[in-house]
Amino acid sequence: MSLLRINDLKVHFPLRRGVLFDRTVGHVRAVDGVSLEIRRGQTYGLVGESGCGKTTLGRAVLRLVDITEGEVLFDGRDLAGLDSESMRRERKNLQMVFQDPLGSLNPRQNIGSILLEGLQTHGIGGPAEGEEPRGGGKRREEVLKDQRRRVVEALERVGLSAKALTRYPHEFSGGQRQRIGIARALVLEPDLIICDEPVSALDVSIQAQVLNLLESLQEELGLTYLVIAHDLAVVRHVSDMVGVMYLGSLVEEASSDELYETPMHPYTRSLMSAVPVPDPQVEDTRERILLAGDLPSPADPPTGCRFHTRCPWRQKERCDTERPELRPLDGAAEGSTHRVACHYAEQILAGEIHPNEDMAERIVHGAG
Amino acid sequence: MSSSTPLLAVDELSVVFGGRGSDEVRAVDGVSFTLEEGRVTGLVGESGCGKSVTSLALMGLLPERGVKVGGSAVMRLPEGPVDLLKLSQRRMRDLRGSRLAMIFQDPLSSLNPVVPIGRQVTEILKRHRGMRGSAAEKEAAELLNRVGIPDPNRRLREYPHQLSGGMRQRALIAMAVACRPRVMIADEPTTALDVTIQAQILELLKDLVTEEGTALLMITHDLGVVAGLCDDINVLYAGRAVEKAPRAPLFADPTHPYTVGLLGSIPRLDAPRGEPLTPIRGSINDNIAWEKGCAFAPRCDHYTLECLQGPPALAAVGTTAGVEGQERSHTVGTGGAEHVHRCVNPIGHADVLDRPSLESPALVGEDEEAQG
Repeated sequence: MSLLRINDLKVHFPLRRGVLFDRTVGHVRAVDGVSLEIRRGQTYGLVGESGCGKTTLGRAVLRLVDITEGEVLFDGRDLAGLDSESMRRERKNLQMVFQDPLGSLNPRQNIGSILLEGLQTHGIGGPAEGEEPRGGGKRREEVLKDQRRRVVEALERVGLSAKALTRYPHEFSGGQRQRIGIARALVLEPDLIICDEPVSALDVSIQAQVLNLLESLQEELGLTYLVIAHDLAVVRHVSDMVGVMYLGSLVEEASSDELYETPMHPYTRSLMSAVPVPDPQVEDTRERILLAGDLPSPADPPTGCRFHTRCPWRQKERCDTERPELRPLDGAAEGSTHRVACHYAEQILAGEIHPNEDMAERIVHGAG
Repeated sequence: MSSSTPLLAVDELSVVFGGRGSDEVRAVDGVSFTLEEGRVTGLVGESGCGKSVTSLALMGLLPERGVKVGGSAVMRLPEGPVDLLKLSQRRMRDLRGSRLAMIFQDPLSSLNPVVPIGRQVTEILKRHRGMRGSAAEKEAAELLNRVGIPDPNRRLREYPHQLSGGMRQRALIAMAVACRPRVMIADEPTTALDVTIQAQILELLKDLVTEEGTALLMITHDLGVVAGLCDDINVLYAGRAVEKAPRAPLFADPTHPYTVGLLGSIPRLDAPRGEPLTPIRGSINDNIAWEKGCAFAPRCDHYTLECLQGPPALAAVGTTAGVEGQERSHTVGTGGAEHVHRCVNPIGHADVLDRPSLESPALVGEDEEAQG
């Protein structure tokens, strides 16, 4: 059963030029046709390098950026078509945890007021503040009491005590701030939490604390996560399904274990080979596929396969003319979820196609 | 390798900030290591452990007021050994860029945004190698080409914002290697970059070290990067080295609980999925002064009362480290190849899991981060 289903989502940002006349001279295709499905209670990890559109995709699900085309079906309802007031109400079921914990907490609000804000906006624990009838003082007190109970409960879930309520964000360490960010999302009891780089601003030892917290919260509360990160090791650790993005589209999608065991897309393979492993033996012996150059501009993406300009396995035919679709593999086992967007995935896997001569020197073989 | 005199020998380096009215902060507290030709020495630790301050002290980039730098950093030069920490600003300016160079973490803020790349690269060639005009320009293009920037002549006329992050870092490396320095310090050179670009830059640094015989000091928080690049590793915590070893024994057989904790905190790409992480509890703020005992004790799972009986000394692995006496012992922990740690309760590889753990000492209260 899928909680979130994205169909052919596109987010294009117009490039404008001119002072007097606002001419649109092109579009940055940040997200360019992504379809994916997240099942209830699971974690979907979206991984890719900067500029691949993973953050924009997460923000588009919450409608924090305008959707150009496509559907976002949350629990069967299309979020893309909602007006802003209905969307605002819907957001209590979809919450976000941001990368920079200091930047996403208002420095002049204490923790109590940060956490209460969401409850008050959505009128949880009683009617919304504005609709309160005059003279209903007693009732209002009960509402506040209920809201306070929820806030303390959320804080305790993330491992902080009620004493934090009267303190301000600067009084906490980075890891604690990220916990507050998670508590803010939790307090509304959402179904889906989108975590955009939840640990990349934290020290290694604190990263592990936050990752473990996210996992135990999922077990307790049955949450569904969309985890967006650039770190493949982090994504593999937390996710059931992993989608790899490159220049606005998914190039490969598989269960976490399948993706690690048999990465099919040349980009996934090079990404995997580039992730450092804290083990000298592994580092010395493994093959490293070094990509040439940088990410092309999403305002002017390459024709055909978006990756063909950097792909070591690039073929003369089809790669630069025909855009590959995300498809299951030919002859894949029944029930396999592995999908890949490469014309030659089977041949590369079977070893029938070798890396190009001019690109081959970019592949470093381990000494051992 | 320890038979030859090292290119740079850092001994008991300490950096103290503050004074006059405010409390003193010991950012670096007696760090010793050596840099040798064609080898990579790593300084690893989390934010606040003093690794960046160490590099700034060596380059003479700390402000003169309000900072006390102690210890020595003797560099071997053709004209004889000099102590970098005692040189005049003027002498230091001659050495910086020519004999020792630095690569910073953030390539955008270390380049001047309003000056074309070409002028910034030729500036070094003019200052240190006395090159002029077209000769300098040709050499600059050659340098950019060498670090893998395509179409170098066009790039030389461009401004830093027109280059991608990876290319900016390459340009910085080109500037660092312009005068073939003997010692290079890289402070988190790949932290701001994507992994595929990081792999390119690390490969480039590796080539420079093997081809030119440069001694590289690699400062990073990423144990994965260390495993692939460094020969000798110093793990820092709260301003002191807590464990130092060549990379093979460090990763195969770490003995300090902090090193073990760091390794247990990293999700590994090749580990079976679902294996829980074992984070270090608390945060870097939960520490005690080294004078009173082991600074890591409040976060340590293997803490005993012995840990609080004064500063632990560096000792070779296999022997029991005592508490430092009144005088700091200089006899231990200077050799490059030996595995030393600063812990009275080290972890043997057999009893990593079944060692009884005691309750952490105080310093908890509301500030403590509960374990996830």
